[in-house]
Amino acid sequence: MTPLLEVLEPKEVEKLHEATLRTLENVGVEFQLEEALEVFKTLGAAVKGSRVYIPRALVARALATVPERFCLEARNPDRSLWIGGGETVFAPPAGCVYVQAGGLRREATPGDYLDLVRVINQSGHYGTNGGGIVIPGGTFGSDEERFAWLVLAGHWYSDKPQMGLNLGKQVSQDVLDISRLVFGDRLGCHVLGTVNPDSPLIYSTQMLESLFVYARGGQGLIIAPCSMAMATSPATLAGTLVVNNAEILAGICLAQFIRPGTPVVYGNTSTISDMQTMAISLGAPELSLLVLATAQLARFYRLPSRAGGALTDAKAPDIQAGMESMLSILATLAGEVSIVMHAGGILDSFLTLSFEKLILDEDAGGMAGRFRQGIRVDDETLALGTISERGPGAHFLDADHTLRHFRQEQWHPQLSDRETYRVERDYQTYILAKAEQVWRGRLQTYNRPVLSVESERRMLTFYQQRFGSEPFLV
Amino acid sequence: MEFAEMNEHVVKGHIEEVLQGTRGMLAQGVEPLRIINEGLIPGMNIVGVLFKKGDMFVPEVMHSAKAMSGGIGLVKPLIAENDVPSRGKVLMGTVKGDLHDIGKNLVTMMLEGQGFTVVDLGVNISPDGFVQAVREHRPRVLGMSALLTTTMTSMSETIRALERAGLRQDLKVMIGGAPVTSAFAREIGADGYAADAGSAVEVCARFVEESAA
Repeated sequence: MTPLLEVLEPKEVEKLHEATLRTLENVGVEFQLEEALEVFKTLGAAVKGSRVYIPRALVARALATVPERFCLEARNPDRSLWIGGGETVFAPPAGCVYVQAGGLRREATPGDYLDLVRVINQSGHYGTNGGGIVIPGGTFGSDEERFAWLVLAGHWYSDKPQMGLNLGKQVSQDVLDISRLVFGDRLGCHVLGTVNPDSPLIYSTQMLESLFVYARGGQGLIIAPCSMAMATSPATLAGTLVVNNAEILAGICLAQFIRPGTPVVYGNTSTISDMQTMAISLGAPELSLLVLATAQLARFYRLPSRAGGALTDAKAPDIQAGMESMLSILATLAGEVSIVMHAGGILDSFLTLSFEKLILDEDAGGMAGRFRQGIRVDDETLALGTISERGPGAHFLDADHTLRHFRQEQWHPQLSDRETYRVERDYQTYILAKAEQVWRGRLQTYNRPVLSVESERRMLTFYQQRFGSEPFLV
Repeated sequence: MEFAEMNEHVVKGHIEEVLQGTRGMLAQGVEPLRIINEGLIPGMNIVGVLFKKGDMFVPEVMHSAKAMSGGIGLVKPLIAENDVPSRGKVLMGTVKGDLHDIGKNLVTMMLEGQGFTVVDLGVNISPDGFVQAVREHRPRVLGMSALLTTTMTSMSETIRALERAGLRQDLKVMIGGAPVTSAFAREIGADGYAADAGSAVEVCARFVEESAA
């Protein structure tokens, strides 16, 4: 069987659902945008000030129009991906401010972003690319230009499906406009962006403006709170799930009411706040429990999910980073999350992206993915014919049965050291050096996927007209 | 109730008991200032030590602080404002464009718990807003907080605005928040940086001692 890890009994899921509906009906959610309030008013929800009380009938109505899975298009159609339906898609980090390479931490630059897009484009692990993998400093005329450049450069250097960026109306509109230039007349979901409610129970003006832009354009939205249990949601994980579930369902309702059928992902990145420092803690086991519950709740609502990642609070790709990242990525895979942002490279609680860890986590994800596949038991895998043919004392290395199965049965690491002990080797730096070799090697062998001359011209013209400058592309 | 017992209730965050004890002491004619100095503040000092050692955690510290300020609230009307003991006045606010206030509130609570008088301006405070508030309240220390990388720049704008208004000399400025670093603090000319609420109190204490010396 394939081991699907679930942490909630069906009746516990029902209890969470009921508590959520009561929260939506009696406590309500604050929407800081008049246009959003109008949508709910028109449908008969009670609205007091900016607070909307959402009746259960409206929740049911919204859930009925959400697709259970959708195709996230890539400009290279071979690389398009299904979000939802049982597969887990890995996405790179988003929003990191610092990068670490070769042990040094520094502010991310535009050049780092381009390197990351190139490395990730050649990875067999990361299914998507782009968005704000890192938010680089550097001289841009405005933040709007910075974000538009991130999106344009993502399309320019990668033919994988692109993640979106959201920071208010204009940024989201730029994201969609640039995608349209790349995809031309091709229909479908061209970009997947995230909208975060501010826990507890608030949607800010900026995020709502973005939600409207995406929903109206029929583009993919991940609705994902990031509450810190004890600070911005109750100290208990069950209580945190009630608050988060109310936030997510409220956002899904709005997206569906704006445009029924909008592809949305049931997301959650919540964890605890540390009881001593109050800092967010991603390496906490409580995070992994919330990941499993999130995936389970999404299945209950028949929606794709986003949660988890290879997450850690460690400041270097060290033992703490390894332990914490493995726990969270294992939970992510074993819980069958549909799409995983931050599926590798994260250090320092989302703040830092480590180039080496970006590669190390490909292995962590690979191990967890193999674990998720479980043990297949059937007449072929029981291998009775081979066992009787070989008999006692033999080996199986050259058996036909072995040749048929070993590559599928075994996952093989790209980095983990399974060799014998070597006296001359420095094991303090060995695996990090190997990881560095991998990403540097990918940069050397990178070839830019072809983009039509027409698309390129349209993108450059758009950028020049919009910002009055040339995009940085090297 | 004895002072020692009251201290104990403050440490345990027993709000009702502290209120009851304070009322009892006032009824017995205990001098109001002694209630603060011997009944309430020593309890909070113990809390500070236990928190630093990792034997007490934030939610417990918040309850202790609530208990203490509950007691002070009962005593305060009975003493002249200038006699209320304070280690110094601190102005706190989250900078323009930023609506995050959990960290800032936590620092405020910890400072009050350690005997500072705090004026909390709230969130989304413009450089001008800070200048006006400094002019009005004349604090020893100004604390600014930001969670977003995009709003950090507002901190240096505020410091520049204070300089232009001639209010910078007698004021210590400390900054904090997830993206803020000590290097950034030096770069924009702030006097101090605190990585978390506990160290914010230490930074403030150092400022006050320095200006006393």
